[in-house]
Amino acid sequence: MSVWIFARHELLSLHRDRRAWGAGACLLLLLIAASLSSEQMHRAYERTRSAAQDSTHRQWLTQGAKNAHSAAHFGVYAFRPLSPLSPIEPGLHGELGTTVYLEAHKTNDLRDAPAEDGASLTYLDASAAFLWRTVLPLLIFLLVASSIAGERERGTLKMLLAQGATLGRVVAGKTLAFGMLLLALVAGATSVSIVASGAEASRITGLAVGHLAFALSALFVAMAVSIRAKDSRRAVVLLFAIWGLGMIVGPRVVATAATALAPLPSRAEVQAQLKRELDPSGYERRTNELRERVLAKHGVQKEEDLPFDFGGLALQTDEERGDEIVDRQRAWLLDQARRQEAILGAAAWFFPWLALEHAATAFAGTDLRHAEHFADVAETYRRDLVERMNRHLMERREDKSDERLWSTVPAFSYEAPAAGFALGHAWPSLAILAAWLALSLGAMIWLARRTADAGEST
Amino acid sequence: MSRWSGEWLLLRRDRTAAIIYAFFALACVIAAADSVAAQRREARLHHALVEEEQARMDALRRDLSTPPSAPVAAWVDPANPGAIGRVRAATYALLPPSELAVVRSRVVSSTAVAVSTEGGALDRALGDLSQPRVQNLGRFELGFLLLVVLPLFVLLLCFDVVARDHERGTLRILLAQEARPRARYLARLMLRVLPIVAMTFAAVVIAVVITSGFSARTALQLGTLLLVVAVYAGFWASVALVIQAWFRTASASGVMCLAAWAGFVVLLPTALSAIAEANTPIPSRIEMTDASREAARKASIEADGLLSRYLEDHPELAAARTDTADFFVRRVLMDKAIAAARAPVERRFFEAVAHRRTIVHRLALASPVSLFALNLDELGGSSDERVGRFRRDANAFQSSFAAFFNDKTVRGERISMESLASRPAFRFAEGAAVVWPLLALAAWSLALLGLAMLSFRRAVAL
Repeated sequence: MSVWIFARHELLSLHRDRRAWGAGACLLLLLIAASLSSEQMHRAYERTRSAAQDSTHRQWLTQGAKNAHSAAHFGVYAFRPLSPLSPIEPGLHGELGTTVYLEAHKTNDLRDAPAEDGASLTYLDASAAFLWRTVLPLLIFLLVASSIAGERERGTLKMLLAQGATLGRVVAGKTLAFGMLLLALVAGATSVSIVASGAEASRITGLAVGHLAFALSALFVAMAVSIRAKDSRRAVVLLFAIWGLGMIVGPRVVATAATALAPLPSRAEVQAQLKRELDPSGYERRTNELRERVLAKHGVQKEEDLPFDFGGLALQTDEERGDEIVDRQRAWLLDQARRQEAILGAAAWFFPWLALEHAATAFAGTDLRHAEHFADVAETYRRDLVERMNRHLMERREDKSDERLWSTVPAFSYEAPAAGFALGHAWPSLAILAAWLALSLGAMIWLARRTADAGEST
Repeated sequence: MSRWSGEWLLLRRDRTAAIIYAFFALACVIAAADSVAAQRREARLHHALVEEEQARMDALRRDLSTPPSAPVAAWVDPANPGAIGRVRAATYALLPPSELAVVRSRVVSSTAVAVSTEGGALDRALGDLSQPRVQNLGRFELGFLLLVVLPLFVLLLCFDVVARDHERGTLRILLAQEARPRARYLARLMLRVLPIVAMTFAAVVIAVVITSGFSARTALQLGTLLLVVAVYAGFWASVALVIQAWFRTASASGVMCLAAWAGFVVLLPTALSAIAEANTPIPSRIEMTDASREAARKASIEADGLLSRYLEDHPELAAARTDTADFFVRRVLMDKAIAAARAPVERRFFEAVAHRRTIVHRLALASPVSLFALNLDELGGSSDERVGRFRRDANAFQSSFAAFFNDKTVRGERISMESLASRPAFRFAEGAAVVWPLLALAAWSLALLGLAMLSFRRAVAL
């Protein structure tokens, strides 16, 4: 008997199974509802953000005549844009800040994370991403659990084998049927995303590849369990335990372990340490020392005899000193965050859900690295703005400047990096998903052969 | 042999149940350890802030008691209210943890807020620095164990209490021998659920004793928690029984129990939250930033005009010797202009948050899991009311704290040891306990139990 016959039979059974239809329709409806609702929120956010970003530049230009250093203190705001794929994969948007204040002397953190505001009744995220990553595998487990175990329970497997079929072909046919459905689902969602989101096709492809690999792994695991289970009840219970442990409990336990093994300091501790190192009260002393050095270098006695304004130089020198301290502290903090990331990465070999979460948020542009990229661009802009103001003070010796100077500062704009950036740090997670795909497929084939060879098929 | 001891013997011989209990015990240990660690981190943060403020104030008092021999710049002058109100005399608004804080169902991101004369207390929360990905994944804490994991284990232990007898054919024998099969099944259900409740409670008690010690008030709160957990576990056991009245095979019942769990724990709260969000959108913080920014721009241009307007509004200060060129005076006026511009957006923000809270609480009546979470938050001190009140109080405190220093700045007064001692301090007043979520949850559980009893005849029909 050909594999296709079993595949067609399984598809026919699914077509007749009202529970499968009901569950599939529910999932599809939820996916559509979650995506549409996120899309609406995405648009509202982007409208507000874009208007505020324009507004902050207008406010910069119309701040009136003042000292260039006061203008650097006035600064500008940068608002983090959302990735076009965030309605499908919101990732860390809720936890990441949306706003950063770019001003003289200070490297501020992103603040105003959406998760800080508003009462809610949700305890498990139910975004489209949650449905793809967590509910779809549950549906696969529930539908596949009884595919072989159910045939065995009903005695129909014995009849099929008596007619000349082999367990391997039955398994292959059923796996093919479910695999085709999954492929159709992912391909459909990918096409819709490409048309509707306007995101880079390569990012959507990366997202789709990750999801497909994970869903197929779930299918192979479910089929392997169904091959060995004596009845569908045991298969359901075991698969449910795998689901609960692997996708609900496991990731949280790993997050708990990461927090315990690589703890981060509190914000207050970080601020206190930064303040100690920056030592703002020592500005006068540092300026006096610099003055002595500069006067000696230029062979003059008074500031007025210098070919530039010393005040501007002092400000810029102190700014650069502060930047070095901030960079050092930021690198240390990032290193601590990377240690937690490494723990999550290692755990992803045991909980591939974590690998999918990492790869999907990377390709959607909603992960930590993309937020860091935004913060880096904003910080570069801040330093450039402050330097322009300080250099202007040095060169022009103006007490008050006006819009002519303000307009030399370009408006802040941000362009997300290309898909290669996501691939650059998500490839280990993709490798884990590929390994799980190969392992689960191998386990399914091995179990089917072993069961058939041992004469335990029925 | 009595009905109870017979069922107890059966349970003791059930190896699958033993494995499930072992897993749950492990889950309790992990969750308790995580909650204790989180609580200790918060306590350490509060302690560090109190110590830091104490050290800063001691240094300021020292400087005030020994005036400098030569004139100093205004921004390092310890008696200049404009200078010290921004940094040296700044304070913190702290939300004290409740005794049962370990059972919170959510992370409260702002239990500490830095307060100075600079506006916007809402922007100055001092929580833990956390890796956003780790934060997004969530923690395996006691609140999560109680809300999400406990129902799963109750269902796992109860989904086939009747269905298995159906499948094995032992139901027929049992009905022939047992005069009151309903009582036997109830005993079976209770015996299966009790160890789960006991383990959960033990984990909570240990975590509470480690973090908060033990007192009469704690005992009372723990008693309430035990009642709430028992009611919640009873609800889920009743769900399993009702499902078995309609789905006779263990596999069908198992699948439906999972669907019920997903429906009650994930989908229903999400749908209700979506309704609440759609009904009461909360103004974006970006709008608030934009409003502040525009006010700052206008204020920086009109700084001189601001002073005369301000003195018109505050004639009591007009007689004072105000130095109009003073940087801090100009700063105060700008801060006031910014606060005034933020006020309508902030008011809209707080009103929207309060309105959403009302809607969320009304909708929570439709979701037993949400009601259970509200109970946990009420006991854990992370209820929307308490946290919302704290944020509002901290914001109001910031205004009075700023007024204390700003009025002195505008009047041209200097800070003395005596006036520093009367600096406003933040006190958080606890509100009355809220019991309606407990009553509503009890009503849900009783309704489900009633339904289970009514459908019992169908469940055991041959």
